[in-house]
Amino acid sequence: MDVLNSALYGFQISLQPINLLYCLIGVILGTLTGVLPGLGPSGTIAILLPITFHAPAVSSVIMLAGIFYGAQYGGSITSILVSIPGEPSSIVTCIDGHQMARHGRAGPALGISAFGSFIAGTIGVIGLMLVASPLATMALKFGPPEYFSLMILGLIILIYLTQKSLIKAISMGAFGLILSFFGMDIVSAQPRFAFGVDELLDGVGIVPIAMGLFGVAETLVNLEQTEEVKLFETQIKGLLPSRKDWADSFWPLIRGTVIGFFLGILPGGGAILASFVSYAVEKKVTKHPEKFGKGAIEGVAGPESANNAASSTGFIPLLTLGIPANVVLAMLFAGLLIHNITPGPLLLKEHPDVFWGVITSMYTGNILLLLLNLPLIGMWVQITKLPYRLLFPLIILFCVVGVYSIKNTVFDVWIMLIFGAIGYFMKKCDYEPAPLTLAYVLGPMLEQSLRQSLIMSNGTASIFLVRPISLIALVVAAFLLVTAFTGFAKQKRLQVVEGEDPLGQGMGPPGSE
Amino acid sequence: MKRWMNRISTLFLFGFSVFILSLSLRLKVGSFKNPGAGFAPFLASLLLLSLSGVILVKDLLGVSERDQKVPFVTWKNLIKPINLMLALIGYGLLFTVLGYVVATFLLMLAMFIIYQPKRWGPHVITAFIIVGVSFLIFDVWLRVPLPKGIFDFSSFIRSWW
Repeated sequence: MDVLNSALYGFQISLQPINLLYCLIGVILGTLTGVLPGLGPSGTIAILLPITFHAPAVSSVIMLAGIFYGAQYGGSITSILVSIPGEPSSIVTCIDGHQMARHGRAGPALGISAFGSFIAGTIGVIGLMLVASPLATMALKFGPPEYFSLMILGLIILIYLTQKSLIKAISMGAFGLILSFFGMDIVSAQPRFAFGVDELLDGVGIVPIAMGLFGVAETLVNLEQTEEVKLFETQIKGLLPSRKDWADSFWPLIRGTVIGFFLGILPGGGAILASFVSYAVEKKVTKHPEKFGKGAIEGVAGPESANNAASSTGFIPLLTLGIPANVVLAMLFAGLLIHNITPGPLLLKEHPDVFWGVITSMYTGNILLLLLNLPLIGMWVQITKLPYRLLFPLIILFCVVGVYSIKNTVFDVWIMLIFGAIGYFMKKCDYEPAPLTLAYVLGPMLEQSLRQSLIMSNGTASIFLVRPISLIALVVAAFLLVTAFTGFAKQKRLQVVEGEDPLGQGMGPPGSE
Repeated sequence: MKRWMNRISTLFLFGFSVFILSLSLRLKVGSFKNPGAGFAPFLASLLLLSLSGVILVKDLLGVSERDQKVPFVTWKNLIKPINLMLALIGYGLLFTVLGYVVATFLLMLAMFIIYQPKRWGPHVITAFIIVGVSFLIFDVWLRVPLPKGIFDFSSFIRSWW
């Protein structure tokens, strides 16, 4: 099947009324997630995972994917209007987007953000269609050593991009790996760390862990704030950018799309990195750098395009290699597993409906998002005013019921509460949950590929160094680790992840999702 | 306070890694030629042990990281999170005993009161509405078998619905 036929097949699936409905629900929930503070797409997907048990697999994944890329759209609304990034990838949008709003240009800022997101998201999906299929075919030739090294690279990139202590981020990765080993041994089926508890024979479970770390812990952190955030009141008029706005935004939009496209493919990379790099590039190439930070539309168009392109291409490593590029995609990975679908090179062959259905649903999802974001902007603004005193009990309620409904056991609720408490204290001590979650998801595959590689090579660890792809992945991972720990590079890393000097704004650090 | 919290959390990871390390040794670690069930946990716990050890030593030697610049939460700010955790623990204990409807109503009420202690009337009404709607969505519509508990309001609501 060539790409065009595959696309037509995908549209036959994604345009079915039920799938359109799920796509609409997904993008609405995604935008909502982006708009509402205190609930990220990881938490939302974790909460909704149990509900998708009752839905067809394709529809469920279409909805979960919609939440992911929809959150990028929604995140920009609060960034521009309130200067609170709904999503970490929208942090840089706060800088110029909010300044535009303060100068009475909230409309064009929201408009270019929505159009830029739409154009970049659509181009990203086209790229995804073109690249995914050949890459999946190529990935069939990958053996356990390649998988092991690519997963290590993915983890290291995520750790490299961590906002706080590197050692602590690696520790959380190791902690996540250990947790993933609870349950049955994958080779001998011998119980490991089950302590006589039947429920632990199946492992700790990604949903209770994720809900604890991203739902409960996040709520506990937010509850510390004693005052409600006051919104910046502004008139939103003229959402369509002017001809000059378009002229100023055209090249930033193209550059942002290209940057997002390539950085999104990187395992461990993604929308956050793409938006920061795009902003830094725009500031570098502009003839008027003095305008940046004071409401330059280029500072909105570039990063918003970059983060949306990256959120589309982030699906490439997930769908073709079975390696989630970030935590949100790790949750999506879990969602696929729940429906007995294993992401990876065989996905295209075994479940073409899921593969092409999900990819093509992103076209429709992007159109739906454009329609939702422009005419309904007033409604989203009203939603940002939802008081936290009502929001947080609902988050907790969804977490409890969601986690209970998986196996109908209170044991999972306790696991969630334990990880909520652990996540809270770890967060306060600068231990981030993202490496833990990704390591937990990758853990079983990582162990399997490690053991298979060692058995294949008769116990020689050099198998990872004699195979080119594996070697390249490990060299890049080692390079990142070494540079991250050494003087100048360490400072540069912090600048990139915190957006300090490259942006010249001293912005707060991005979140970890 | 942050330094102590830091030490406690690192000690937790240190202790956890020692515990897993000893358990993985009891499982068959095997060899590089034939890795056993304890092989991967052994490596991961060794990594965690080393890293948490480094963090502890750095902390004890006073080689602080950038995190010392970040202001830590005060006791005043901790009241709400601690209260919520206590409410959730209580909920976990009462969930199957009282059943979903009653236990969740009490949890909702507790959460509203934790955030705004002085508005009991609206809190009761809002908690009642949320529990009712959530019950209809999850139990009646999505057929999640929520615990009935000693009061078994679920059967009553179902028959009424």
